[in-house]
Amino acid sequence: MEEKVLALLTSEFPDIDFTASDALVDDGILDSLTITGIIAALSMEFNITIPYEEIIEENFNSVAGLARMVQKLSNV
Amino acid sequence: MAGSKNRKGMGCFVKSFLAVLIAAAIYMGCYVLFSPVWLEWNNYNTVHGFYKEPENTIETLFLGSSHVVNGITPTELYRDYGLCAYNLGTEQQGVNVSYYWLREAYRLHAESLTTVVFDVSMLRRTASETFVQKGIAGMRLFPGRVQAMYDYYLGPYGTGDLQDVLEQLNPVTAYHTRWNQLTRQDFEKFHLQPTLYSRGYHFVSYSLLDEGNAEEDYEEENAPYLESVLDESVPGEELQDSELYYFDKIVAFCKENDLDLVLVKIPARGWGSNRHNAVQALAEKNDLPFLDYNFPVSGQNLVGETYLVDSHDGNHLNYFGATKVTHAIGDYLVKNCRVTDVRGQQNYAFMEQELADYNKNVVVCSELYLATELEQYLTLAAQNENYVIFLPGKDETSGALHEPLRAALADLGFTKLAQIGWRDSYVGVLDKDGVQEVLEKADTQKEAMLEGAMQNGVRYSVVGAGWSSENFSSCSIDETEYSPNLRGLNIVVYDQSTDTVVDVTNFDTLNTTERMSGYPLQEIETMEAEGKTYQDLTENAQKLYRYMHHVENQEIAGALQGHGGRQELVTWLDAYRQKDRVILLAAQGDAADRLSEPVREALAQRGLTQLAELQPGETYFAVIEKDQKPYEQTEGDGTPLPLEDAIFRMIHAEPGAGDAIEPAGLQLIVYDRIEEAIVAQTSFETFEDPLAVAEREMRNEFQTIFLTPKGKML
Amino acid sequence: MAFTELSFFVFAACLVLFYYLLPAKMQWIVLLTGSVIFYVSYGAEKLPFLLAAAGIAWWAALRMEKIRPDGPESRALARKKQKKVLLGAGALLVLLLLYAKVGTWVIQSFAALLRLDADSVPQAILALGVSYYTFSMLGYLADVYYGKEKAETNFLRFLLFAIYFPKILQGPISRHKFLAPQLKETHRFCYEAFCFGFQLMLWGYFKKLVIADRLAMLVNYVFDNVETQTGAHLLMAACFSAVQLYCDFSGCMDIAGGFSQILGLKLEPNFNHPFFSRSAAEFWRRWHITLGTWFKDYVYMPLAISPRVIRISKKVRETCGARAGKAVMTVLPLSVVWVLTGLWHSTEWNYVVWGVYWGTLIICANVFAPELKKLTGFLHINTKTESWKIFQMVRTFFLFVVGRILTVPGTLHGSAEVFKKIFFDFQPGSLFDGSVYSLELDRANFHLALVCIFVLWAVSMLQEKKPVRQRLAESNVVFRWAAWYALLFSIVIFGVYGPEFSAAAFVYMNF
Repeated sequence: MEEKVLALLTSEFPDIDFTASDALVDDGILDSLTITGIIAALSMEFNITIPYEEIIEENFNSVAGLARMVQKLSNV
Repeated sequence: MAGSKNRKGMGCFVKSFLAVLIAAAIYMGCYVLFSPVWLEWNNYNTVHGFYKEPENTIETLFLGSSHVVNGITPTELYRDYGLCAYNLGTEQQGVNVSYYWLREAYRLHAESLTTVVFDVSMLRRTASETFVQKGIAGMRLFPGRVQAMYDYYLGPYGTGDLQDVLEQLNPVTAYHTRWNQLTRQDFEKFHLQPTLYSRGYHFVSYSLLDEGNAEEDYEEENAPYLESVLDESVPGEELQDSELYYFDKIVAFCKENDLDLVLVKIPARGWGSNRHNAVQALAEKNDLPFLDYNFPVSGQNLVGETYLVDSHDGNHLNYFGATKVTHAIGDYLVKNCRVTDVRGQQNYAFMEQELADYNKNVVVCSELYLATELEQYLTLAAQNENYVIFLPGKDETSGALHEPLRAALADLGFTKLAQIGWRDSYVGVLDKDGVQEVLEKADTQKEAMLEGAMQNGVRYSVVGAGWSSENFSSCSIDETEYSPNLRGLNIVVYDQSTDTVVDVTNFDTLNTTERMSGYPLQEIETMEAEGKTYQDLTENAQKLYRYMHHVENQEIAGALQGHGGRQELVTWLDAYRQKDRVILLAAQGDAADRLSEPVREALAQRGLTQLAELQPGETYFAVIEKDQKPYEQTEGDGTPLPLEDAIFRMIHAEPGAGDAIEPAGLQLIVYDRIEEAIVAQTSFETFEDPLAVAEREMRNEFQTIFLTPKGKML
Repeated sequence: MAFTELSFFVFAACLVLFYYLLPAKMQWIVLLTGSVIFYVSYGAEKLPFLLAAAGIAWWAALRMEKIRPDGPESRALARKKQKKVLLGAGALLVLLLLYAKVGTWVIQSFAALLRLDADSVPQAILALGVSYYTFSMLGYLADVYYGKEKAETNFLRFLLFAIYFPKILQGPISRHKFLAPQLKETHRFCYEAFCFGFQLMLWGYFKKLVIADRLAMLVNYVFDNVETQTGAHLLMAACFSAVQLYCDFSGCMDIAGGFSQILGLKLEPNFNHPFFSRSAAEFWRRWHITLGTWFKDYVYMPLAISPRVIRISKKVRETCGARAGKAVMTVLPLSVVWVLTGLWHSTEWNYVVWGVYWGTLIICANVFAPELKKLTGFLHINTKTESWKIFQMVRTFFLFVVGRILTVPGTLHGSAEVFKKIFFDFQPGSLFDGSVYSLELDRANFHLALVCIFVLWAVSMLQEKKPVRQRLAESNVVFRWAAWYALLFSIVIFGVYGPEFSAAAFVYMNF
């Protein structure tokens, strides 16, 4: 799952290095525009709906976190 | 741990305390710095000088507006009567401000104060906020100014806003916007000292006739005349409620504290019968004396006839007017109020020093103003060590400087001036350290210049240029030009103790070493003794003479009018039988019917013998001039008229202007030789029916008397 | 009781005394009482509106929390119920907001329809700070709905959060999560915090009284007399008005923040030297920060990730390509955000245009980013140099100035007049012929304004690198004290207050 997510993200946002840190939001590497783009990409790719409550640091600070979130939402 | 925390706490407390202290100190500095210093109208000296007076010494207090400031000199009340008085007038001092100052003065002089003299000028209008602020600006904060501000803004006529009170009490909030207008004086105010010798009086010596000092050129058409004829029948003007409110407070305060209150009106324009009557009614209602010096008091018109030279701006008195008014009030106070002669008393010894300073500064300066001889002038000016005398010459300065004068000038220190030649350029500066001079001979065509700074740092630049050079003179002090720039020797006298120019004048020394006096009253008073006529007078004296004439004519007319409309021939004749006036009488036949016996007798006594015996049907003409034998002519005589020119001038030679006088009764016309105009005219229809006479208004009709060369009436 | 009035200083001093002298447990009560007094000083008739709004928000949050799901199926049901409460309460709050903002206009329109005299109908009451506290409360409700925050059980404590006076006039728009915990804690007097807070207040007063109110005199004069002014004067005045607005607004923020610091409280930052921004987007991250973040968190994000928008984006992606699809994802929510931002400021047309203006700038910058990059490359502009950064800052400043010209004249027509003058009647000579000294500010005051702007710039530059208060605290005593005294007495001497001027009200207060 993680590799899939990473592959998707790098293709959508080639300028951003998603492996650079474990605190992508806190470090400012991801801004709100990018986050919404990520959400759109993930929802379209994995056919999930990401509710507002899931937009928290834990989920977005790292690729691993994103993958976990996607996993959780896919299983619902 | 706890100890260090406590120490830290203490440290913080000490730091905070210190911080607040320093902030307060800087704030106080701003407080003083931004307080405006009102130097005009002697305000600074008046208010700050007041606080320097020893407590419980002032006996008489003067309150009022700029008229009082310029009109009362308390030091002369001490000199002449031994009274201790103080002049707390301020510019446009509203009645409310007078009340505030009364309270403040009483606070400090409760034991000695007995009399309050209040000038009523401001009863007729409300002082603006600016002048209320100005008037109270120098008052001590507690309790006077706080109380005053509180009452002004939160009293019955205020804005009702507490914020206004706080903002105005604090000069930092009120005046911090002056930061870009601060002047040298604002910084000097930290060690500014008021002068005490004037005791609140604003000294100005020059008159309207003084070209050098006058603010505007004097125009005869706009000469200032006081309304000095009182008509008690004119209804009183309505006075403002707000002013009456505070007036009542003043009256109540005086009653409560056993002070005699005297109402005065210092002579000024903008005051007439309507205002007088209003205040008179007010005075009577409150049982107060009212001395209105605009009008004759005890039959004497104080300054009305000489207002032209007793005033410096047409609105306020100068020194000469002030001494007269002060003296008159002094006489009244001594006779009617509880005032004492304090000369010689131990606790009033300080007033001797004030008097000495006053004599040195004020009296000398006034004498300077009266001096008309060059040597006399310079000697007087040199006496005061605070004076700096600037002498730039222009054009030609040497012509009238004769040998004895040159020697005297050299004695004074003007050695180069003593040597001056034809059209040389000259400039000189005299101060207590000596004389600096520059003399450039005419052929060099150079101008003479001196530049420098006076003791207090004020810079000056003086230039004198003769005819062959630039032909001008300039005296610039602190970047203001003062030289009258007239031919001859121009003189500017600067007083270092007050930082002001005290006199500016010119001696046309090409022709004469005398200058025309700005106060030519004496010339007029002595002209008869010296056998001079009007034509012999100097230009200024002639102007004054004409002025006095006009005032006299007004007074005569006013007096005649005051006879309730009764127009009595004899009264008129007596009234106008004055110097320089020509009375012309003309009568038609029916006039004789109405000449009653007593009137004929009176006429005969006055030398009008032909009129005394006038018969019905006869026409009559007379020319009467003061003590001369009247010229009379009755029809049928055939004698040519000797006074053709007088009559000619009287008749307006308009084509076809042959209007005969209404053939009824006696016509009287008064022609004034000085004013060169007709100043009065009337007719007397009957002598026995005063009521009918009273209905007639003839004053404003102009009629001509047309006479044939043989003196016949048409 | 404006921040610049004497009564405020007395009030603040008393408040601080009570705050620290009474038992610490009472601190929040002291604050609540003080805030109510402060609010009522602007008119007691405004209080019921705030109380009503606070009541609605407080009750709705508790209600939402009470709706607990019993099992997995009822979770969706519970969610629906909660949503109903959220929307209901939200609608009421927005209604109250609309009443305050457009109520008068609506009433008068009705009156006109019914042919009644405009003066005889009542005016709607403009509740103080209604835009700010409404948004605060809406944010609170959303946070509770999304489970990010727990509901406040004590109404009075919630009221304190809503009415806490430093932020009630002009913001910042506080988050309950950020402010409420601080209000619950007790605070000991800290000398350092007191000093720093007081210094910050001084700085705020300096910006407001010395710079903003002084520039206001010139700006108001010029914009009241557009017909007689040259284009150059108008442009200059517009630039000054940008600085004026910044100083007025951020000055008020500093006073509020500084005073809060004295009480041991922190408020969210609302400004971060916006004129150092290099792009429109960055500008709105530095200007009126709390408004931007509010719209981002409560409008932009929910819209951007809502299934509907994602579906639209997908459709567009299929028809017009990936890039277009991505663009739509940002364009749609941003448009909504910016129109709403414009309306938040004022319901007049010029503010709507203003919102669209900024929205367009930001959207274009985002959507056309690759093109812009190509352009700079084409022109061989090195984007890493200082000069390029400065160019960007100046450019952003002028974009803001254009925005000011859209709003200061008050009508679109007025703004058009100004633009016309600037482009067709510029007359650059009028800047140097001395006529600038007759625009209500004389020579000395004009120069003073320039000097103070320079000081502002210098301090801001220093602040970017390291907080100035810190800097000064570490420097030597004499210099430090001299600096603070200079600041204090600049306000005393140069401040625009006192009987010479009439009080210039804080500009943002009517929002």
